[in-house]
Amino acid sequence: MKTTDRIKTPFRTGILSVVKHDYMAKGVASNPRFQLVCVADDNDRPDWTHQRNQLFADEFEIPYLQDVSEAFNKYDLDAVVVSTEAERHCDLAVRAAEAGLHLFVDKPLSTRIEECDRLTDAIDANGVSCLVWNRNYLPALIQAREVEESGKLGKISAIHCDFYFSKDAGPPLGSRKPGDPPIDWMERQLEAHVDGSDGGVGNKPMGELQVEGIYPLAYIRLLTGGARVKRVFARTATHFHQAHADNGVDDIATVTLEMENGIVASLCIGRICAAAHPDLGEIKLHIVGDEGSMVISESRPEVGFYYRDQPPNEFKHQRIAEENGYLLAENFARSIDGDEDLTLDAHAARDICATVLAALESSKTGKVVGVQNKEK
Amino acid sequence: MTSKWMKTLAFQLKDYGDDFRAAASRIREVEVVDIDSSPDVVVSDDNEETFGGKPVLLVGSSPKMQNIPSGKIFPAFPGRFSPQAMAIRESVDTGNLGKPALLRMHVWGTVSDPVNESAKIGAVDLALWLVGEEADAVFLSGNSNAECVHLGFASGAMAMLDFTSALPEGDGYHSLNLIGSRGAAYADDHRNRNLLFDGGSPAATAPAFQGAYIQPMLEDFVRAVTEGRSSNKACEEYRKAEKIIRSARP
Repeated sequence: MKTTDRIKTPFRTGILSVVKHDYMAKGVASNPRFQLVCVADDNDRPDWTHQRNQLFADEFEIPYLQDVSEAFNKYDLDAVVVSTEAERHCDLAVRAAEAGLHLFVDKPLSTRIEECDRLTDAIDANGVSCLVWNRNYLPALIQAREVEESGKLGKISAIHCDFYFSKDAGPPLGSRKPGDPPIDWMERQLEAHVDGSDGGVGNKPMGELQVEGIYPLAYIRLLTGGARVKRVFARTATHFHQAHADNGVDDIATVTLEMENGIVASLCIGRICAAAHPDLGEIKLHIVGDEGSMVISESRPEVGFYYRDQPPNEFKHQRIAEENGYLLAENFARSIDGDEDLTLDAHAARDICATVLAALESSKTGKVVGVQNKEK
Repeated sequence: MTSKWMKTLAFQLKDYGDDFRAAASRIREVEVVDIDSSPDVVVSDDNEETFGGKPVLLVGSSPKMQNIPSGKIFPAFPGRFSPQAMAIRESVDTGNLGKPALLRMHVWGTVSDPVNESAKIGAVDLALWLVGEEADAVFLSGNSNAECVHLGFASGAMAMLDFTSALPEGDGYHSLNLIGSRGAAYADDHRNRNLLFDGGSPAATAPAFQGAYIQPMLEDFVRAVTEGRSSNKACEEYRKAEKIIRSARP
């Protein structure tokens, strides 16, 4: 366990919208290196946006401004947390970078590679740090990284990730009656906010690969020493949820990844419905080295609970000792200090976005697709 | 006392002969005899022999094309008869899992007990058998230590299998997950391990059930012969899996 450098003045941090989950903002708030000072968003956002932002501001007893520029000018910020709809991440982050602020941006970085490039250019031009939300500091991932760094596995030749969230996403596929209108994506995401399954919030529908793919792809990148994906072959389909079918996006996908250094990798990902697993889902990493190999369950450590009248949708195994949000904030602070590399910076997240887009193209064409990584 | 179902069976196997004999001893309808005593049926790993036209369960090697028309050479599918695969297939057949959506398999062997071509063909066959369709897209990728076989199906189902023989000396690893539209099944060596403390970090050891496939596989073979089934369908299914392993190159 690392000691937090509490002697240093906390970074004054603004929350640029908190319309999705509030895990990022709360992760930052839990770390003494940061002080939340305001919430801000653009004035022209819909009412539900302002309501959620105001709610969070009230909880932390900080002001909510419907003017991002005013927040930059008035509150002497050092950093911002950007947790808007996915299609707005980069725009707000670019504006903050141009104001010289360090960035902690929600996933996925964007739905468009041009937006990712605009952000990485702004980061480079303004010399700021930009961490993208990920799960690399879950206890099992820390363990996997320690084993990999110990050299016990030798040279990594293959890595496979199974990443299934056993959550529902509205009515099951096939439940729409003749004459019923298709499910509106945004309306569905707003409903989903209650149970936290609104990872795809935004006007543009996103499939499971696009919403969650960054997590396993960041694991693969972490455990292969930053190796990048060169080519992909992918299949996607909609098997479970009416909302995904109505909006033409996947809820399950398989991707073969051909990577730098001759590494072969694969990803199976899906939102496979709540009935398909007793917990959050089957999430595993299989790592093959030339001296050793490893199978990691992402959920461990956990505690099992079984009791009379247990709600059917309650996870029976609860994760424990999970400090991912706090540790990401610590990594962010140390990066701003210049003492530590980010576990997932915007450049890496940009290349992951390119991998996801290549996979989606492959699934449409049935062909192998090269990944448009950005030159280092 | 013998019945009309009774078959004399002989083994001609280089490996696992004791396990096969032990499994056969549990089957009431089978009497194990010597290979030279004109058995009714034969279990062999030799794909050159035809055993005088007697029905043969061919284990671990590819049926020769010239021998297939007889309809008597039955390729073995050990994977289909593993306890986990049978349980999953039963759940698929009852509809509990719904329509197959994604099949995921990890098959890892060691340097001294590698995942050979026969095992890979068996794994692909198992995927095709559980999904219940022919693959309409195949992509194979790999390096000297690892391979991925990626299959797509017209229904939208998909399968991803990976193989390696790079594990250090000791146990292999096998994992089979099938996700359907109504539910999922997870059969994973990771789940089925117990801890052995003998100093340092504990070892994860598994109860032995690797040979559990043999008895139901032999029973199915004997039943097929007794019912007069031709082996042509089984050979065709074997060929489909074999073709994927042998021809799928990016």
